[in-house]
Amino acid sequence: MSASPETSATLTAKPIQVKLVLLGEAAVGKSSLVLRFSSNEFQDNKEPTIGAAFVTQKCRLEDKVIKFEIWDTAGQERFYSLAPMYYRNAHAAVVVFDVTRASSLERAKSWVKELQRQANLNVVIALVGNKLDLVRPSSTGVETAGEEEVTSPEQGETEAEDMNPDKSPSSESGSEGAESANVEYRPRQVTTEEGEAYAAEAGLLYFETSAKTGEGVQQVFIEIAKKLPTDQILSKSQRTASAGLNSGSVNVNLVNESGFGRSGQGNTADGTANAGNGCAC
Amino acid sequence: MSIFSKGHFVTPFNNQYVNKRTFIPRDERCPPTNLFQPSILPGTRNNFGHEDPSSSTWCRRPKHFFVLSNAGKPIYSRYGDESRMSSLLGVLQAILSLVSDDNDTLQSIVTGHHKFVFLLKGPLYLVAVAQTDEPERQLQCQLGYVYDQILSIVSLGQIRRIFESRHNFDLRKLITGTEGMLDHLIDHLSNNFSFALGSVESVRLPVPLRQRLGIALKLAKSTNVLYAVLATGMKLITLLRPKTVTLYASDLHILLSTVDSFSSFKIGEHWIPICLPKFNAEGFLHVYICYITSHTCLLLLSTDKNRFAEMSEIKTNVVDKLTRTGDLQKLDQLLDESPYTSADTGIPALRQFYYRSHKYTQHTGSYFGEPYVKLQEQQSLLEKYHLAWSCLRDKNQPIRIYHQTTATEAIIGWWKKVDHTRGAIY
Repeated sequence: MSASPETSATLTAKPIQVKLVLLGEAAVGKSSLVLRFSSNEFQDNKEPTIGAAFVTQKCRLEDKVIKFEIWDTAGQERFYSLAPMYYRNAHAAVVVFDVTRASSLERAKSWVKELQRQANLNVVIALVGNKLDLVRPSSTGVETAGEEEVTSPEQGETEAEDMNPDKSPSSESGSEGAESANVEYRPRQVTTEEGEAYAAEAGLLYFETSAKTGEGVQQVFIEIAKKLPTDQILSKSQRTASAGLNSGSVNVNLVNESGFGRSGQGNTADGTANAGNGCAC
Repeated sequence: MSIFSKGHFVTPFNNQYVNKRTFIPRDERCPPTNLFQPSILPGTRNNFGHEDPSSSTWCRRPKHFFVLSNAGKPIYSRYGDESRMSSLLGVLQAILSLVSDDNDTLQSIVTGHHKFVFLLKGPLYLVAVAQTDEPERQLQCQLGYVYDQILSIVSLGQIRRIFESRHNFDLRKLITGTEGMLDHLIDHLSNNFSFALGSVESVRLPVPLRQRLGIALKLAKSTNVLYAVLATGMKLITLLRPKTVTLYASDLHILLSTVDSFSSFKIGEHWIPICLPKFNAEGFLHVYICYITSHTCLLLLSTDKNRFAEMSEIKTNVVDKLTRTGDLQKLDQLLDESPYTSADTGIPALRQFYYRSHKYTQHTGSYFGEPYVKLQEQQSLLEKYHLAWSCLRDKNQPIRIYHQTTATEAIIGWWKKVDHTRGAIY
C-alpha cells in the first residue's frame, strides 16, 4: 500500500503518475482529444467542457507504464482564471489549437507564454494542431465536391434549414465528403511549417492530429511520455510518499490496491492553493 | 397590437447572414477576421438552435423564451439564432423602455393568441411568448427559473459589474456554450411539474436502502463540503446538508438541471463552478460531479475551489462503502425498473397523483399511464394541475379542498395541515 524505497526493483511494473493539463481556445477539440486517447471514441457536436474534467489513462512504453492524470480544462474565456489551479504542478501540458482557425494559434501562444512563466520549470509542453480531418485532402476533395453538386444540391439546402446552417448554400465550395454528410472542408489557416517554426522557437513538441479519425493522437501522449523526466518524477513521488507529505507532486502507490485512483492527483490539486483568483470569472 | 404575426418579422441579415456559431467564412473573399467571433462556439447546439426565425415552424412554436439586455442586445432565444432576431428584440426593448420611462413596469401583453410575459431583472429583460393556456403567473415563474439558470452561469455580482462598466456588453460572450443548459431547463419547465410545485421529486426507494445510502453519504461530512447530493436525472435520491444551511428547492432544480443537461458529465470526474442564486447570488460554489453508476450521480458542493482532491477521495470512500454492502447495485437495479403507477397505491380508478410534502419541499408522483400516454395529453393534464395548485396556494383565498370535473376526469386537490396532498384524477 505505502510507498517504500524497495519498490525500485519493480519500477517497470508500477505506473508512473503524470499530471497533464490540456489548454487552448474553446472548441479546438481538447475534450475530443482526451476522449480519443482514453476511450478511442469520437462524438460529433460535443458539448463544451464546463469548469474542468478529470480523466486518467495509462500509456505503455517499452520500459515503463505511465498513468496520465489528465485535466481537461474549459476553453471559454470565463474559466481562464481557474486555469492556474490545473497547470500548477503539471508535469506536462498539451496546448491545442485548430489548424483551420488562425486565432486559436494566437490563443495557444499566450497559453504557452503563461505556462512558461508560471507553471513547473521543467514542464513538457506539446503544441497540437487539431482538426486535420477538416482540411481538404489536396487531390480527392475537388472531385467529391463536383459529384455532390451534381447529385444532390437540394438535399444540402433542406438539411441546412432543418438544423445545420453550416451547410447553407453559400458553402458549396466546401461540400461534404462522400461517406459522411457532416464533413465540410475548411481552408487551412495554420500551415505545418508555421506551427513547427513556432514550436521550435518556443521549445515545444509539435504535433498535428485529428481527434475525429484518431490520426496522431496516441503519438502526442507517447512522445510526451518519452520526453518526461520520469526518474525525477518517480524519485520525487517516493520521497513525498515515504515522508508522508502532501507536498503536491505525484503519489505512485495508492492506486492499485486501495482503489484511491485519484489520490496522487489529489495531492497535486491540494497543493495548488493559488491565491487571488476569485471565482469563475 | 400584434407584433408577433409572421408578417411583422424582419430578419435583417437574411442575405448576408453570418452564422455566429460557425467559424467558416461564407465567402472566402472576405477577410476572415471580420467574420470570426472567437468567443462563440460552433456546433455546440443542435437542439433547434439553428431554426430560421422567419420560418413558419418557428412562428408556430407554442412557447418562445427570449433574453435580451436592457440595451436591446440579444442574449438567448430558445429557438433559432438570437442574433437574427434583432428587430423583434429591438421592438420588445423599445416597448419595455417606453413603459419604464414612466416609472412603471410592463408585466404582460395579450394579443390574439399570443401572451407576452416579461420579467425585468436589472440589466436583463426576460420574455416568454406563449400560445399555451398557461396563466401569466406561471410564465413569470418559468422566467424566474430561466433567470436563475443564467445567474448560475454568470453570477449576479458579475452581471452587475459588467453592465455598470459597459452598458452595451454582449453577455453571450459569457454564456456561450451553455445554451444547452438553458434549452434543457426550458424544456423541463413545461413538462416537469416540479418547477411549478417548487419542490424536488424524490425517487421511490425502500426505507432501509435510503437510510443506508444516507449513512454512506455521511462519509462526505467535512468542513469543506457544503452539500452532498445523490441524484438520478432530475430526481433526488438523498441529500446531506448542514442543519443550519437550507438547500432551496429552486437552487436544487438549477443544480440538477445543469448536471442533467450535459451528457459529458457522465464520463470521468468534473469540477465546475456554479452560482446558486438563492444560496448566494453574488458568488460561486464548486461542484464535484461524478456518476457512480450509469444512473446515479454524486454531487459534492464546496465553497473552496481547491478541494477537488478531497471530493474525489470522498467519492471513492462512498463508492467503496456502497459497493461493499451491495447497495450500489441494488440502487441501480431499482432505478432501472420502470417508475411506479397509481395502481400500486391500491386505490381503484385513481389514474395519477402527486403528493407534496411541505416539510421536505419534496414530492412524488405516479407514472403517467393510460390515458395520459401522449405528451400532449400529459401536458393538458399538467395544465389542469397547475390551475388546481395555484388555487390551493392562493394566499388571498386559501382553498383546502379543490374539486374539478371534466367530461372524462375529476381532479381533486387537498391541502392538509401538515402536508400537501393533491391531484388525484378519476
